[in-house]
Amino acid sequence: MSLVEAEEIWVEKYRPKKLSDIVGQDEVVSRLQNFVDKKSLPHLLFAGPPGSGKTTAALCIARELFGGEWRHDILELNASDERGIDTIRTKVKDYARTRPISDVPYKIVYLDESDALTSDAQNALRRTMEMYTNTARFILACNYSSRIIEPIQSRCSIFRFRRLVDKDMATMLKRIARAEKLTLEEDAVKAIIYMSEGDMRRAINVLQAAATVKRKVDMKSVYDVSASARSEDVREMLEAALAGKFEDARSKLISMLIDQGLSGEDILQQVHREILGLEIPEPTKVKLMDKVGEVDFRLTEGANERIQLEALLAHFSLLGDRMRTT
Amino acid sequence: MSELWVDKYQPQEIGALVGQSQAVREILNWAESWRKGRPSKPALLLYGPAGTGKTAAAQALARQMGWDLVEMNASDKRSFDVIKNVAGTAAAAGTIFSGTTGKRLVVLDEVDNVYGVQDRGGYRAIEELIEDPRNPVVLIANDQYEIPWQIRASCLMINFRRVQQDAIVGVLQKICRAEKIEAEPMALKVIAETSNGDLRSAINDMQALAEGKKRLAMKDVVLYKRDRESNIFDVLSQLVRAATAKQARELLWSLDMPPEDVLAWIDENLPKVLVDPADLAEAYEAIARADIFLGRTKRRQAYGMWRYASDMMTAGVAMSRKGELKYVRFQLPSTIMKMSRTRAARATRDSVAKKIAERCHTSSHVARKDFLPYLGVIFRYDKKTAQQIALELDFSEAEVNYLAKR
Repeated sequence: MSLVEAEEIWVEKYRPKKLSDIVGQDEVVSRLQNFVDKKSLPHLLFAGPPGSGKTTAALCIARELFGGEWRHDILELNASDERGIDTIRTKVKDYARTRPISDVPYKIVYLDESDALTSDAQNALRRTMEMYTNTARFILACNYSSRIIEPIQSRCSIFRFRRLVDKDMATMLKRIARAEKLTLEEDAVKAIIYMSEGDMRRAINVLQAAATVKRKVDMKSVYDVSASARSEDVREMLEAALAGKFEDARSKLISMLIDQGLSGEDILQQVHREILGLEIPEPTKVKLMDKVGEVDFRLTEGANERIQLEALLAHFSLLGDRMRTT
Repeated sequence: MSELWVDKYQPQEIGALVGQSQAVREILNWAESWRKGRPSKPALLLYGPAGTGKTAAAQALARQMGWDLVEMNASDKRSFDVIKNVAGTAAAAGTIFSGTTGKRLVVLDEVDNVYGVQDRGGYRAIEELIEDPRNPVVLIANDQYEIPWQIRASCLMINFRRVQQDAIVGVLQKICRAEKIEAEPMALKVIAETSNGDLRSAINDMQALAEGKKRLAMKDVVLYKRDRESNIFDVLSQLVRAATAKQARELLWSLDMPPEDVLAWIDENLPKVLVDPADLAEAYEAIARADIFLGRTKRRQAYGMWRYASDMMTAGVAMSRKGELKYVRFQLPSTIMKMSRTRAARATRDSVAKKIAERCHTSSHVARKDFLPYLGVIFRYDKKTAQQIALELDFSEAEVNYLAKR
């Protein structure tokens, strides 16, 4: 982890530095503030959707607890990037061996996306947490606390981060626009919020990209940016499948998985969004959404992305064929 | 091994051919018509799966008609020169071979795999051969659709079918009696079943198992079955044609390949062979189920689950097929090739994502999904900001180019 924040990327530039600057999570923030003020921190479990402020809260806690040298006393790990529980264990061991720089008697280990760990790995993690409990506090972040094993949950204070509501998103976007001296039209704010679905990180990225195209950000520039950023691949893939061009649909899929490095879940999410806008009978849409849900479940169980998504496309092809023949 | 049983017990007359009565009748009629002159279809094309008696039929026919036999393999260069020779010298009077009728039966094997096919010279030579008014010609192939229609048009097409299991068992019993081997009926049945209609392989298998023994038991056969290898192409082609769940399921027994790889092959080729979207959807659901069972096998180390994965990828696929099949060349799983072709670009993408992940407190996956598309816009539209970001995140030139071209 680098010791310098990226300032050219607005997500970092405008990341709140104090707990009290975090928008939309008032209840969580006030409880966390309490810990910080007393300088006593239990292990924490942050659960909530992407872009709702989990990492920001962890960084704020470190800043406020440790002061100027805070960077040295927090170890950031990402479960989806570390190669297995053994690397995590080794890194924690090496890190927790040395004394903290600040006068607080422990360091923080922040483990993001901890629900990416299998339950075996989580059990190993639990032992690690116990081993270093005198010298380190763990903050685990995940999307769903239910994916974290009971023994870990019971050792942590659990904090649920809400999906950000429109009002809070708007507050943050306008704060940034003022600081960057941008004109941000009300329609544009609505469009950004609509597209980012409560994910602040995505909203800020859209805003920054739109502002590079035009300093006066309006609805059109927002849609233009997201059209050129978010490719039409998923829709084209579905349309090819419905038109009976299964192999075309399939090569689009494979290119998204391999060239763009999207995960099966990413693609499924977009498929799910596209279904409502497709020109197919309404009851069919419901059946398809059900099917998408089934495939999504299979992926969380570790099934092969390519095969499962191909099976879904074959299903689309069949529906398309039935629509043409009846 | 002394003499191959397939040679030792080869049918001497064409009438003794097993399981191909329809084909035999047509061949005999055609041969008779040569006595009256040149028939309208001067050549035979015998096509069908391996080991069903095509070559044996041609040989028996020559013997029975008193014709000299010239056998060649169309796929090899030497034979190719001979073809041209035979075709070239045919106009010359008389024959260098003995025989009162003065006719030679030219048998060309593997016509679906002809030497010199790139320049089409191979097929031209065959056409010349067929045009020769003196010589009856027999072409032999597995797949008739690999042969140009011009050639097929001058041939009488005769289909050899897979030999029925009972007929194969009958032949095996006869050989056992002649060799004084006492065989358990089930053992012969399993050999017949494994051969999947290929009489030659059934006889070869039995010879390997039973030669020099007095008894052939079921247990010898079961062990042997696992050792026998077949290749993935055979398995794929038989899989989509299998008539019963059992037939389909047993295809994997003879294949030495990990189930994940077999699944990748099936996955790649399904949409190429299946025509009906309903078949395709059902077959895909079957392999999706197979994939789930494979996942369970791996995650829980529950190797018993493997059998269900195999069920779904074989029987599940075979029973999904109700409609037509396309004839195709099976292809290597494309993911493997694509992965190696795109290696450089993916490496750049991942190194960019890693740098973003480190500076923006997130994972490379989120960086790929939620940062790269927007950075791409910035790098295309605003060179100044792009430069600053590149400096700050320490992007290489290749990484900058990657973002700008996204």
